[in-house]
Amino acid sequence: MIYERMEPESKEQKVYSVTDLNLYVKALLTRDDNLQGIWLRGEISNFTHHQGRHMYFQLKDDKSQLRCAMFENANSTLDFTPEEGMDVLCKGNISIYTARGEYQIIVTEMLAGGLGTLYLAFEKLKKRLHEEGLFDEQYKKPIPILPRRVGVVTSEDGAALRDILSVIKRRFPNMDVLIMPTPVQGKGAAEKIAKGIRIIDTKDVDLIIISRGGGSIEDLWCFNEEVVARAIFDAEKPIISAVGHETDFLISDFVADLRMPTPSAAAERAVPSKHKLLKRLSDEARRCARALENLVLEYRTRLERVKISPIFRRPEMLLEDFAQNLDESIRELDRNIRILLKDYRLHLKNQQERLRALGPEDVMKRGYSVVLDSSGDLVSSVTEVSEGDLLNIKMTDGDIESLVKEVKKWKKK
Amino acid sequence: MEEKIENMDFENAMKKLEEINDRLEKNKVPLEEAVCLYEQGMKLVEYCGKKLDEAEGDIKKIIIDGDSESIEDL
Repeated sequence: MIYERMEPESKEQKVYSVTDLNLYVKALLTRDDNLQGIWLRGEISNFTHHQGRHMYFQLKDDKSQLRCAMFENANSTLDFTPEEGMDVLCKGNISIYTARGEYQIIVTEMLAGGLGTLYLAFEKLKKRLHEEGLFDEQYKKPIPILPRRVGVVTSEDGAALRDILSVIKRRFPNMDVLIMPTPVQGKGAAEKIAKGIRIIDTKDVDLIIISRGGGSIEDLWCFNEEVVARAIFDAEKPIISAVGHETDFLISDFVADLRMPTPSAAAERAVPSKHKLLKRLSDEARRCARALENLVLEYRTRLERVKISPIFRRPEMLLEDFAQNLDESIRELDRNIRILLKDYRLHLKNQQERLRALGPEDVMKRGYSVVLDSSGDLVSSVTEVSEGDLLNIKMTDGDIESLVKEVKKWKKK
Repeated sequence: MEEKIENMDFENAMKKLEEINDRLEKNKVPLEEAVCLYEQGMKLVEYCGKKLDEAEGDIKKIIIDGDSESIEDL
């Protein structure tokens, strides 16, 4: 025992040091199995997270409180953030912080109790559905611009329905609406909402609004249930989720094709303003007529311009040019032919002169004659002739038929 | 371009009408084609107008009674 080491001032009264006492009590507490691995439930207060590492707080109920410490090695694996006022379950070991003599629990595990448990489950479900792909953009359907009939899943008596109907009436008075009345809170509400969605999805509506008008987070909890999420995801018609919680998103908000913060906002998004559409339509109609008018006007102007142009009024003007050109060409051709002819005649005359000069007539006029034999061939040598041959002598003014008397060849000099 | 008007939804019909107007305003359309476009445009205007007046303003609710369903006025 620790106290045996002490030195008492007197043998009758044992006096201990504070440290020894604290250590003794610590040993007492830590030896008691009932106090180790104990589960406590309480509300967190005076919460500090020292430099992001160790957590120090009080757990209290309506009468008492207890100091708590949750060190980094234990609190780093928490899957939620402990907060002031949170209702929690803590598992831990009772002990004493000897330096201060403070009785405390060293917390090894913590769970969010009550609403916290709900939140935990919500986070788990949200994660699972997200991983399955229920929140993916690719599955979200576009909201039609002009629905023919709007489906509404909500409580028949609530303010949500009244608001939705009033907005629809204001924006598009002749819009058809089909309501699937369902409870939106309480036991079994989630199953009834899911069933309602499945039923109205088979009806002739172009989109569905799921709505309730606000309330506490517990009241809205049915819209966090898996059965509702599945029904929304499986639906063929586009769904707008407007379940009335301004800032928090419920699971139905994530799965739906569109989320709006209030029932009125959902109705405004679902249904267009008829007045605006009519205006847009009439603007386009006017634009069409005006565009055609302008085109016709432009074509008419172009036509008029053509009609008053000189070519149009006296088209023979075009021909006049052609005729003149033609005449000019003919004259030119004539001139050229004449020149050519003159050249040829001159040329011909020259050739005739040359021919005459080369011919024997002039020579024959000077006394020379042409001698031909009996076959008509020219005789140009005495060797071609013998005595007794008949020869024809051509003179400039006639022929002489002659008989060869003697042939004498001249000797070469 | 060849889609039948009756098969278009309101928004597509409006878009088609706006396309026609864009073309007509550009001024390069031959006259015959322009008249044809104008006629198409007016048909679309008529169609869209009808579509806006189609719904009758019925407000009904579904009543479930065991296995049977019925639809009643609100």
